[in-house]
Amino acid sequence: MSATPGLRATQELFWRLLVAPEGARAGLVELSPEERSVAAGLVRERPGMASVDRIDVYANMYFFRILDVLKDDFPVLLALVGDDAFHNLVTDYLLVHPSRHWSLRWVGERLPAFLHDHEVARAAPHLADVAALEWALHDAFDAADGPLLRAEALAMLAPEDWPELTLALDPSVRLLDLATPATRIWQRVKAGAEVDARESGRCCVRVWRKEMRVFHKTIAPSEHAALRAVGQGVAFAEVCERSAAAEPGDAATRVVGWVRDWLADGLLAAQPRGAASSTHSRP
Amino acid sequence: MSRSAEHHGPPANLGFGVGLRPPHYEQVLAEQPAIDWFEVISENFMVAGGRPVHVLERVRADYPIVLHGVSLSIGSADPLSDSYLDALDLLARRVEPQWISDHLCWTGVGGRHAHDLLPLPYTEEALAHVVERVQQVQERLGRRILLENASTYLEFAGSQMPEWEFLAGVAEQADCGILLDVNNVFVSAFNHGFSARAYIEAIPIARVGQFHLAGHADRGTFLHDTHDHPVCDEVWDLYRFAVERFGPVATLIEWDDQIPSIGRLQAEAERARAVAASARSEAVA
Repeated sequence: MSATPGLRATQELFWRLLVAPEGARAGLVELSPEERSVAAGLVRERPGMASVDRIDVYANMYFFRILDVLKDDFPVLLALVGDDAFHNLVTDYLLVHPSRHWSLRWVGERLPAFLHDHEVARAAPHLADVAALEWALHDAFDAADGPLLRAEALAMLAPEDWPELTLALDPSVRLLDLATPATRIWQRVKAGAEVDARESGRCCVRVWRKEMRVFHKTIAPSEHAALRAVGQGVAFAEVCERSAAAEPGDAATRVVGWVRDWLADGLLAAQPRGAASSTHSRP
Repeated sequence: MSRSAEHHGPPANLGFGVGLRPPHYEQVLAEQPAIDWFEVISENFMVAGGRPVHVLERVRADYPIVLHGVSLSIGSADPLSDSYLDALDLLARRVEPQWISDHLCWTGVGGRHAHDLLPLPYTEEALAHVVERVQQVQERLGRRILLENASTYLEFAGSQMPEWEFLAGVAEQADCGILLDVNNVFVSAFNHGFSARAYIEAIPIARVGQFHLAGHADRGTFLHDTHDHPVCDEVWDLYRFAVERFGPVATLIEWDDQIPSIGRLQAEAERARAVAASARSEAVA
């Protein structure tokens, strides 16, 4: 008969049975003989229910609670791979990335990157990109609120102030540069249409929240480059240069046009070191 | 009048509330249904911004709010999470809840989280551990918390005392309150073969600041605390027994899956009001 383990030893041992992918009974087999002996006496038997089955109640709740959350967070990925493959994907995912945050809100954070190397995505590289898009939508939903930049603040600027102007992104903005047409695939699934897994083509996306709703839009690589530069806090002249590197032509005119869209969509934050304070405003 | 909680007194009797869940956000904001108070899951609002924060900000203007957490992990062998306590403290400052509660359980170990209410071995070691941590949490939050008895599906062979003795010991030694979940007492009593009434009779009257009521599912070999059913007749009977013992205590209907209309939840809360009233009148008679 083994000695009763202390609190930490009890919890560590219980944990191993809780997360065993084939259930607590199979988890017992994986333990060392000494651990198995302790584990066998860990839980009281009950008439009609073996102690290992009682542990399995928890093992099932552990897995299915997280599975349900990930189904909610990645509904299009789920539709693309189907229930069984999604179940297996989550099983594999949790073995490598058990939840490390106290909130279930973060449990899927590493799933897009994990998918890149997972067998389910080997012949379907768009799956990881769709997952990245879904995570960005999830992430934008409860991002910090902040005051938005008002168009009037920019209208007051003199033309010579623009090159030094520093813009800032709203905290909800997420930018993606994906190797596959994930937004097109996402829309097809949402519309209940057929998806052609052979579709190819890079896709840049901006995700943002406006008035409590999350939006996304496929954008040109040059707009993506400009937004990235804005997010890095560089001056407007540099934003234009980086955008021009992605697409030749009159970058300044293009970027000024986008700034109007960004203001209308609510992508730009009213930052403390804002336009008016760091540059000369019109009297 | 300020609605912020009294940090050191016993919880107020708020009446009969329901859990505020996302499917009802719009209706609650638009119609302000006649419900005494709302309990919210703390973690759902421990986020940076967006709709959840916005909704709670508006609901709290019209209703008393209680924060009910699921991630404190008061019984874990891991250290208390500073990031969790910081986020909870920030939320409490924003929301000014009537009180804050969580569960007598652990939710993870070794830096990993199960997101489930896992049972504790009821040992002297665990009791001392939980007492010390409740004191730390209360000091950090500057207020007394309530701990809820969770539904459990197993008992550790090494337990040295029954759950009710452990829970009462934590409350008395750490000076915290008890959120007595009547359905959980019923579920655990069935699952472990003890008397639900004996459990309730062992809980110190002055410590109980809130009741929970919910539905469960019968899995044949065990009862499962699913929160997806109406409260069953046996649990109503046990609730009546609890009201007779503890007197008028704030009561909350929990419903987290197969969530019905707000009207159905109101009806369940009104039934609790009626049961409590009849238990009180019989007690007085």
